Amino acid sequence: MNPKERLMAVLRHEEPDYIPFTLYAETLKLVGLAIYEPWRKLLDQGLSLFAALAVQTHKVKCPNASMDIIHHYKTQTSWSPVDLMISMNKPHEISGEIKTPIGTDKFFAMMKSMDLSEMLPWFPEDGFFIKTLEDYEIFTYLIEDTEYIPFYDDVNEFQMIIGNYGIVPTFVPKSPFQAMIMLMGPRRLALDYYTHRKEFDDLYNVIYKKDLEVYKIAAESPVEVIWGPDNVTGLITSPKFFKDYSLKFYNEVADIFHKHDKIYVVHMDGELKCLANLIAETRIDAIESFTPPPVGDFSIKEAKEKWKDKVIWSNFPEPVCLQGQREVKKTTQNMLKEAAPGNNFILGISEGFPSFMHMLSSVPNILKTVVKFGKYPILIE
Amino acid sequence: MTNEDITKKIKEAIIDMDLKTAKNACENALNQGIKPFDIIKDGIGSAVKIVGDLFEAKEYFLTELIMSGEIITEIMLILKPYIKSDSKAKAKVILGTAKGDMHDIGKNIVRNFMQAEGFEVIDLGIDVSTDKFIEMVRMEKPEILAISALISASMLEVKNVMKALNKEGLRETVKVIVGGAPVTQQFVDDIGADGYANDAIDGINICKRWAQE
Repeated sequence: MNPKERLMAVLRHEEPDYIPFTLYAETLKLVGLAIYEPWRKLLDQGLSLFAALAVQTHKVKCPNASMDIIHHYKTQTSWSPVDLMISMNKPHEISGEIKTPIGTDKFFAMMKSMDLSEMLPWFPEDGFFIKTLEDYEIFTYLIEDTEYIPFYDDVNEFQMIIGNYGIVPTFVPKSPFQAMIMLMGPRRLALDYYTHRKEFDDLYNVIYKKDLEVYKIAAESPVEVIWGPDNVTGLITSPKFFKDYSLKFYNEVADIFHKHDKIYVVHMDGELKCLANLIAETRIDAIESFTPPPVGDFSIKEAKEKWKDKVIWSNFPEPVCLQGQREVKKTTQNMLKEAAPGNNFILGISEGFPSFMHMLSSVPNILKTVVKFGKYPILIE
Repeated sequence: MTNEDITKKIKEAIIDMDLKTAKNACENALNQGIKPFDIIKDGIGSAVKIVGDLFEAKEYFLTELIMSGEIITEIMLILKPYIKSDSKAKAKVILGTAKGDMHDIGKNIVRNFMQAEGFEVIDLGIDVSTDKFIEMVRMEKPEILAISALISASMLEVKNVMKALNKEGLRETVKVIVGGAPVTQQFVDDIGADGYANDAIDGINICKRWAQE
């Protein structure tokens, strides 16, 4: 099997030759894989690519709104045009304005680079999009003004680049509740949930309706896999929130995707133990970035028992790299053992390493261990 | 209404996440002549304990910790003009998120709850360099240094802070507690810190124990 066939086999609940091991295929990593000889070999040894953040199957516009963003580099400047251009990709702050006929929303964030796949902007408490009740009105307008247009060209292009080394899903906007978290941040979310429930629920319902439009476009697209970048953690999306806000949406869109033979993968990288029963009630096909202890709080074994009909796409808990390569190998072996016999299981890396050097040494080590000990079916000791 | 009833109302309003009732009850308490110390001890203090217990029992989550922290902050603002400035803090804590890390939810919860528990908290904010931590430890002489790391890259910075504390001869002057999603007991042991905070409430409990020693 090639990496793409191996990955798709597991996602379709079929038997792989051995457990797939995936790495996110973002621009910088792709360049590295193409030119760095030891890494290029990893692809032929079985490393699979998952281009999670590469492609969307829609274009978006708000005909009656506009956005301006200013990038603040402070002293990171120069007389040299080349230095100036290089500075643009360095850490900096952004401030933005979204203008609508009913008001202007301001936001502020810090960015590590211009490449969003490297690191999403970080919003301080007073930088989020929604800071006041007036912002609810602006965003309600903005959401209703949003037009989605199907656009499928990028999928084929990116799949051509990745070839049989992996898969290119489309990534849809966050589900409504996760979008609320990102729009207002956890502090405002707590305050408004407990003090302005009506406005909170009204906004949620507007996002829900708009999300359905764009999820339907993804369902009708040529991709086989649809990826929801939800970053679910039980700490913020508590069981109460998941039950009241997430469950219905996940199942409604899962049914739409399944009608079109799509596989629905959702990124859930946080503490999931308290959500285990509720996640089991969803019709999501794969829980991606599932992170076992010591970072998460739910083991692979527990997840396999609880979510029998789902693929567990487990993230390697990256702080283990700080304990050395022997520990990386041991943890990989343990993860494989817990996943035995290995059906419905993918191993991947979806979060950042402590450093670039940790990544360079750990990825080959994990792959080597998977190839050696991850042949399907893994024997249960 | 007895004084006990009023402080109970404050406590219950915090536990029920009812900001308006909590503020009204606090103002009512002051009008009734209840001492701020008793409002803090019987109202806020007991609420903090129950909210913490509910969090540990997985009945409350981050949203409830944030909300109750916000209510406590609002109540403390009402009480502030009535609190004598000579009241002694349990301990002085320097708090910050390690360099390279912009997350502050957990740190802010710890700050709000620690203040409610009577700690003097100096919050250095996010993305705090090793030099800044060292400078502040030297200048403020805190009993506790609390560092948060939410991404694995910033864990390396926590390690650097520990090295610098040793190098500057400050290690024995301060107890160090580290918390954050990727942080583990193993990591804390490896870098030679004193405490591992599994979550915000756990961290506060450890600091309370240290303050009593």
